[in-house]
Amino acid sequence: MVQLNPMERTHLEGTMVSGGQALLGALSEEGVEYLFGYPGGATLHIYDAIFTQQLIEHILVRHEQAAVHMADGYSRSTGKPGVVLVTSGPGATNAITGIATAYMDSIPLLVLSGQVPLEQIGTDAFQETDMIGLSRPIVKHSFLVMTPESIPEIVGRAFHIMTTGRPGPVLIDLPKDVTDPKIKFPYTRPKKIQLRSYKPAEKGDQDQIRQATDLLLSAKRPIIYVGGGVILADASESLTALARQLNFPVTQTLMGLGAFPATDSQNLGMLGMHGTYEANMAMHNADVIFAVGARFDDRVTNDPAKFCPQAKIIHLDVDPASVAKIVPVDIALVGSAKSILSDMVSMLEAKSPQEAIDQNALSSWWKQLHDWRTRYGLNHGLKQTPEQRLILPQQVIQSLYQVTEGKAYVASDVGQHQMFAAQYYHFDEPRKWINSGGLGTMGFGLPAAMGVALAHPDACSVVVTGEGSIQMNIQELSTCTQYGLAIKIINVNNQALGMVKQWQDINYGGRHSHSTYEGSLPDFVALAESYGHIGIRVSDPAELMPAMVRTFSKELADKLVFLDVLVDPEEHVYPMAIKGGAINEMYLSKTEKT
Amino acid sequence: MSERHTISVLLENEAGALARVTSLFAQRGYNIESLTVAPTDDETISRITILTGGDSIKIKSIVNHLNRLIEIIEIINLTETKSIEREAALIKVATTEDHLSEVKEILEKSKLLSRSLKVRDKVCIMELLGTREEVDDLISALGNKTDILEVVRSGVLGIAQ
Repeated sequence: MVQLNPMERTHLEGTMVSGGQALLGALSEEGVEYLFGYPGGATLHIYDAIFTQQLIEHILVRHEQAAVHMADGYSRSTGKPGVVLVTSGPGATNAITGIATAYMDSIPLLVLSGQVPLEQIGTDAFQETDMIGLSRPIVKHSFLVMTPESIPEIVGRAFHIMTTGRPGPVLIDLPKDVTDPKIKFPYTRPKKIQLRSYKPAEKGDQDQIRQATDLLLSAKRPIIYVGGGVILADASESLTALARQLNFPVTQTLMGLGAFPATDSQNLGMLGMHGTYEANMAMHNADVIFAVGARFDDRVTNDPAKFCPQAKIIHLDVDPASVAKIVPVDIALVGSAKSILSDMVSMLEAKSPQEAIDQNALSSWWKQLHDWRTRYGLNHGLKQTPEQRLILPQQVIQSLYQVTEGKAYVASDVGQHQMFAAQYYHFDEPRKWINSGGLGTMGFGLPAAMGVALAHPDACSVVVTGEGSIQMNIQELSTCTQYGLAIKIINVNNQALGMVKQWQDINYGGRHSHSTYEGSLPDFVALAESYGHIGIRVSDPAELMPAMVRTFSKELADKLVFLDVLVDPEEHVYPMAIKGGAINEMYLSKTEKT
Repeated sequence: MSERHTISVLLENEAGALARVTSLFAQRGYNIESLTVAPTDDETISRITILTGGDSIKIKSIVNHLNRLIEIIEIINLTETKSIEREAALIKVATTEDHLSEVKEILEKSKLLSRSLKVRDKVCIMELLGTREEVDDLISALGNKTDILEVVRSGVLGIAQ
């Protein structure tokens, strides 16, 4: 897709346009290439305007939730906001889950929702809902359009709000009469958006930054704890430079995977509830923790009162409300991760870090970390044998990683398969790992992978899913057919809602309350084929690799392949945090714990 | 016993802005003891004055989360600044001849009474202005001497010195 300079795309200034045309013109001026949506009564004027222009391509989904997840996947994999168009009433309410998903992970996303005409608002009109009210807790901001002339400025403000400070979804509610094709006005858009009430922090406080660098240099058992914020800020490069300057261990949250190269020797892997033993032990025993773009979420901290008792904490975040929200911090750095990390790298350079750091202490620390990894690293308890009769879910990810050479875009759904994907696929680059961390939305994976496929048509777009999650938006297989989206779906099929079942095994005496399907699953191969796709089923461990190779073969490069892998239903995800404990208290297998 | 803070919020005078502030309090479980809102001398800017409870960590959290809202221009914690606080109250009382002089005495001593209006036989509406505690005390004292039919309070107003 040719990238046009946004200002060349339209020469609308002064042209007589309707509200619908103004909307599309403004979006196009922001560089929008796709609209993910589903038409309805309230948006018919807009759809007519879409029909008569060529700059923005509309992608028709089969459920509005998928439209939002598609825009979300598009955004996560590019950094550009995805744009959604849904109608009023049920169209808007169907988008709520998707909006909440984006909100929890701070993803820039624009949702355009149709609304009943202005004078009908508040009368319980056909397909009317108060979308501004419904979405209030899950958007960064929202607008109700009152006049067609205000549309270009509102779009400009929306983009400014979405993409600055802590990113997040923005909603624009469009009453039908505001987009009426019969009402035309001269298009005009302010050249610069200024909001007197919104000025997000950019550059950090230089004194605080200096103090932070001093603290880091004095550390004996340091760790860098990286979250999704580093990826959102496009600060991977600065972060990697800083980590290398200091030779400190790095751990990532679920949302931070890929911010630092996974295969780098300084990487300890993911931390938290299903993080690696060495990462969690390192955090608990650290004397200095540098948290960058992470929010001390409960999946990481376990019990905040017991969290990292010996550590001094430096917390870098663009959102001051996030700093010291869960645990007290010693040094707060508020501003853009890119800017602050860059300043830190310069300051550290001037202080000759290799000489300033206590290399003996650091050496001992690294020895301790390697020792922990050797004892209970990720493959501890992975019981692969030549005689095994069932495929292990972890092996599915390992073979996926091998065959794609670690270079694919991997979207995932939610559950055990998601944790295995996070543990066993090693992401060396940011924006390749696409999953719903904060909300944990099942049904996210397939549409998100579709958004990724549109954003990166020459790359490999994979979704790792489970039979529970994939059925939540399975109707999108039709959208894939319509637009030729050659996604590869890896269905880790354990015939159950695995993560729920695991918790029921561990905490509820194995009472599997409604976490199984009792033989009601479809023949996924036949289902995929009914949409014109390729279906492959595998259950024999010896056939796993050949099936994976076939899935990613050149021969099937233009086809959507649904690879249904039957796996051992008894597997649990380990390590697993022990409820109510500190971060170093984990179950290491079904029979061992710390 | 948790502390109370009066927070003064300046924000864009736009439809939906107040709803965002009150929704935030509800969502995050912060308490609104009293709330008053009106445009300032710049009619594009409104001021909301909220009396809320919580220790300083909670208040800091409230202020941080309010600051995230796009329409918020400025937030001042009046309790932590040198400020003057007032609350207005309109109270409707039923006065009988016997208690009238005592009621008059209480009102004069308090210095809170601005005006009083007789609305019908034996019923009077009084305008009071003072600090929240002074208004509390006066209403209490009056309640002992006469029938209070209705009390309408404005919520705390504050201005930084």
